[in-house]
Amino acid sequence: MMNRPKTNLGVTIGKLRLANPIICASGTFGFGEELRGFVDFGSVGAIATKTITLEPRAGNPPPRIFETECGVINSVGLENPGVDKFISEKLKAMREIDTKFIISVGGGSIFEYSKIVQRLDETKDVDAIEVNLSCPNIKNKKIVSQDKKETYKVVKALRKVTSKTLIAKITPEVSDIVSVAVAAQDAGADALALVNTFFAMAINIETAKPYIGNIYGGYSGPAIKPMSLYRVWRVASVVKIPVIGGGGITDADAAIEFLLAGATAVSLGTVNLVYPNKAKEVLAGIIEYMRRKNIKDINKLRGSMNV
Amino acid sequence: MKPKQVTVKVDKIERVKTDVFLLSFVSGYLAKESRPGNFLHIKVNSTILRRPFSVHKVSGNKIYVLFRIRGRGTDILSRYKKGEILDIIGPLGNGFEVRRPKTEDRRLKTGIQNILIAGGIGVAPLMFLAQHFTKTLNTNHQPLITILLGAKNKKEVLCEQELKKLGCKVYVATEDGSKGIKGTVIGLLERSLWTREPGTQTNLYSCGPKEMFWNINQILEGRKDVNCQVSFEQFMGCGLGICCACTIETKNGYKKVCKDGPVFDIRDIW
Repeated sequence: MMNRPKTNLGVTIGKLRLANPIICASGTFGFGEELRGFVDFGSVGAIATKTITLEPRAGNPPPRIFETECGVINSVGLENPGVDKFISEKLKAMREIDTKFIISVGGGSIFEYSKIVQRLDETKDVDAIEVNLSCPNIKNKKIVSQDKKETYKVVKALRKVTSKTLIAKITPEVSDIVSVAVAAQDAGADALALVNTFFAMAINIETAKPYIGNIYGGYSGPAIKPMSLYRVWRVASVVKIPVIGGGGITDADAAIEFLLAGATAVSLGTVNLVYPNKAKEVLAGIIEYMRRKNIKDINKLRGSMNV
Repeated sequence: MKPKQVTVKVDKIERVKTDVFLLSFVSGYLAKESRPGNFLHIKVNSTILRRPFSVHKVSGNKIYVLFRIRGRGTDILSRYKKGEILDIIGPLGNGFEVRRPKTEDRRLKTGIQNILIAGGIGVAPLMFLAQHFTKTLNTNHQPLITILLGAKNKKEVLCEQELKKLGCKVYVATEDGSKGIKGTVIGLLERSLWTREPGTQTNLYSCGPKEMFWNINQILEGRKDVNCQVSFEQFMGCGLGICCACTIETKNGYKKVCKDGPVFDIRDIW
């Protein structure tokens, strides 16, 4: 590249300083290390890991994924090795990757959430913690972020046990997402991540069986982009903390829309499953847009939708 | 083997049967790196996720993919034209473990039997395996490769002539009896196992519907002298072992078809 003008792509999420605003969303990038040699991590601002729970989880019965016309339904059910194995086996390999890591955590109770966050707080090499308050695929468990009081309680408890950057990932499946976002903010979250998937299902009419083993799952992919964009705009217009916006982003144009709507960083999800190197292309597209619009600092782009 | 993302140009797509197509394209890398049982994760237009296809055969630097129209992805792929671009990640998956005869078996030149069992379109990865066997084992006067083909009827029998040309012994079973024996490959398999010489070590390699695997496993109960590798399919996400979407149930918990498989030892399943 010739005469590269000084463009600032760095963004700040709590105490976390990212080289660029692209985050690979939890569940779509593993622990990063699986993709070594395949992905250019220089274009990835941060990786949100697969959600870790206190104990190992086997996950949900297969089939766990089904593609519909414009999106993908999944019900993996937080299959993960548990926090101990994560720390002893995964973290070491992750350390060799030159990007930031946001460790996504899940729990069935405030006790479980607190225990795991405590463990991670004591662990070096953990850059930030994302509390998954929004997984749609846990049987007999309510989604925490469907209830603003529960959201407040969980985030408040976790704030007490960690000084690391704490991100609350919330569900779009709620009548008033702004009030949930505000509850997380008031409880001390450093940032918000939205959206997680929408409830969805599909049925094979020949066998009359659901395509997903767990009957229903979470919907993602291009179909949800306009809906997640709307929610990110609503939340970012009100809260004072950074919003990591995403849901159905497939290219740079979509990522720019989320930045214009007020997101500080954008997350790529389902698209990573198809093009693991998508971050590189999206980042290049954002840089090209900034040049074209003569924007020197990505933070100037944030929330600059023209209304 | 290191998977790579490559773009290739469609060389040819020909209709082999009513709803079965043979795709070919040139890729030096995939041709060199693919092993029997590996799969390619192909992105076709207008779908969101990639679709997994096993490598059907390799000839020079040309790769062949045999597929049946099963849904939207395969339907769209079947309409591709020569020269159109496909984005592929591959080769992926563990592939078949080709069991070589032990030294003493080689000396005796007996005692080993390789049987490939294909249910319908399940012949797709087995052709590549047969290719591999006939290239390596038969040069050593090793016993013939037997392949059992199952189909609904005469019209739907796949790859019979080509497998014969490779030097395989081919037996056919059709559900309506219009060709070969009336019934399924399970009937053929039972015969093969009964008629072999005592002391023979039998290696089975199979691809087809899960029900077929289950039936094979029933026959194998208590048969330590027979081992069996089966290639599974499942709706898939990334193909790279990161999303944990393509799991199947095994005796040792859920396993990923893309990374732990697609080839599994049948005794690890049931």
